[in-house]
Amino acid sequence: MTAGTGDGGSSPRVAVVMTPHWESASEEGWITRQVAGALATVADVHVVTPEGTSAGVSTDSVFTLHRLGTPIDPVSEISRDLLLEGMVGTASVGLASASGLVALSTRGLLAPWDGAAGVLAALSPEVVVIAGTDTLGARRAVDRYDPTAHVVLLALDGHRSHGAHRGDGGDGPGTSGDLVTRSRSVLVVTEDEGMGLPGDPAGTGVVVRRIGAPLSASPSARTEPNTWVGDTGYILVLTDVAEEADNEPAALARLLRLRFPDPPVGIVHSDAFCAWHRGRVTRGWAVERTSDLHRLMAWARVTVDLRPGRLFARRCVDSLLFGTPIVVPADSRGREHAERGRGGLWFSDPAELTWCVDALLDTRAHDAFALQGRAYAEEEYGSTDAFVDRVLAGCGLPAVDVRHVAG
Amino acid sequence: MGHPAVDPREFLDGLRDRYRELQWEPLPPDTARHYEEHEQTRSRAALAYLHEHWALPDRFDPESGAGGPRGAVLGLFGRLTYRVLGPRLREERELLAHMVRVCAALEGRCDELTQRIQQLNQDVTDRQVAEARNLADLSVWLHRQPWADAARRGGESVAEGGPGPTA
Repeated sequence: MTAGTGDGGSSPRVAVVMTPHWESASEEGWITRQVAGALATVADVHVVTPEGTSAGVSTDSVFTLHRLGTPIDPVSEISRDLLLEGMVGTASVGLASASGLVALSTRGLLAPWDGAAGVLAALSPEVVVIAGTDTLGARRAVDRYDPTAHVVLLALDGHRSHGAHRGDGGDGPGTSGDLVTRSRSVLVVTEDEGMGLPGDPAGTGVVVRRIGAPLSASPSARTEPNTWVGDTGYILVLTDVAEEADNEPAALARLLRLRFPDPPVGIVHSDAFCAWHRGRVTRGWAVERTSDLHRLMAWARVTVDLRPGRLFARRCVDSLLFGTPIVVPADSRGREHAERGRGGLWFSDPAELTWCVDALLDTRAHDAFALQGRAYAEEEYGSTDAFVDRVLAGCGLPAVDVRHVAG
Repeated sequence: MGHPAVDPREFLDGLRDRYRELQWEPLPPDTARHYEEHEQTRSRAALAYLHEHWALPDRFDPESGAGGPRGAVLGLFGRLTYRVLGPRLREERELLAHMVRVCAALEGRCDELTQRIQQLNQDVTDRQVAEARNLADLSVWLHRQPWADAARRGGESVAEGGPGPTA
């Protein structure tokens, strides 16, 4: 670990990351760990989480992990998520109902963080990163420790779909908007995430910084194609649902393999991989390893992600890094990569889905979108050094020239 | 880069314009494909054996008998037997020759029918695939149609209620 020192030069910098879930396989969990890793280049990073069956301190890689042993009840989180999802589709929420909604959305989410104030007092961190605009209990703990502490919010706002406003019930105390305005800066992964954040950060002087993510295209993925679809210029469809499921992604996948019988269509279900060609199917086992998915992306003609990751649609960026254009739902986070990154197209209904895929099978359109998308992905997501610099700048910490230190 | 920059929004608008009026019609019936003769590659050993061994002996071979008086007696009875049974043996030989020819013809016909079934199987599969694709187009067309009708009705009501001239 390359921990830096404070202005005095003797004591090491200390940064604290407060997250409700540390070892999560979700995009939110992954990017939280990446941000903590970036901070670890200049500071001792302490992770504080309510998880754990009992309170304790342990070491996790370069991080010091403080488990409070007061895990958040999953029911409370599900209730909050359902409430937020419901409010996403609401044009406005009246003030009269706002306080009730806030109380409802935070029920059971604050108390698990009560032990964090003591941990903060013991560490005296230079900067506190709170992961998630919904992590209101962490904000309360920070205020108990020091109301003037340097707080950076890692938004992780995956509740809003593209272009929709969250409407979290006002900006009063104890709301997500309050947490945003309490922070000195807000880190967002995508531009879309930064738009429409609760609490009007622009009006209150809060700096919103886009940090992207550190991703790369593994060269080994291009060495050999997948054996079920080979090097056939296939359409890759990512569904995240079971093969026999009866829902929208499954129906759209069926539409694609019927509508495009000639180029093979490889469909990644949660329980199987199906390669369709001229009405016949070859079934393989489920794609569980990231390396297998990357290999499929690297050799595909176009990647259709019917359920992009809700935070920053990581699979779409991966596909663009391999030079494979994407087709994504219009109301998903993947749309930013298609629209701003010019790496693909987006659809609002099944008809548009078929047009988009058909258009990208054309060589000229495919090559143009592939080049544009790869350039965008490499520029904004393809450099770990740039990611570290953006995170440190967002947290107000000076970057360390690793080459200088090594020399 | 060698490729002109493409704006996805403009590209998508172009697609929407191109498909504004969706066209769909049932697939025309395919004309039946002519049967193509292919050579069968499987073993013909059994048929070859029949061709080589259908001609059974129709006369006595004196070399096969023993020598001496015993051989003379056997040869006498052998020639006598074949002379008496000769017509029947020749009829049997003709019958076997015809059966071998029938077997050869049947095998050829089986080969033709096998090829034909394989061809039909492929034709049916191709047709199913084409029908499925066409039905997918139909589903897309039907999915868009209510939207198009509603837009048209909306346009008409605005035109009828507005101050401008109506078409």
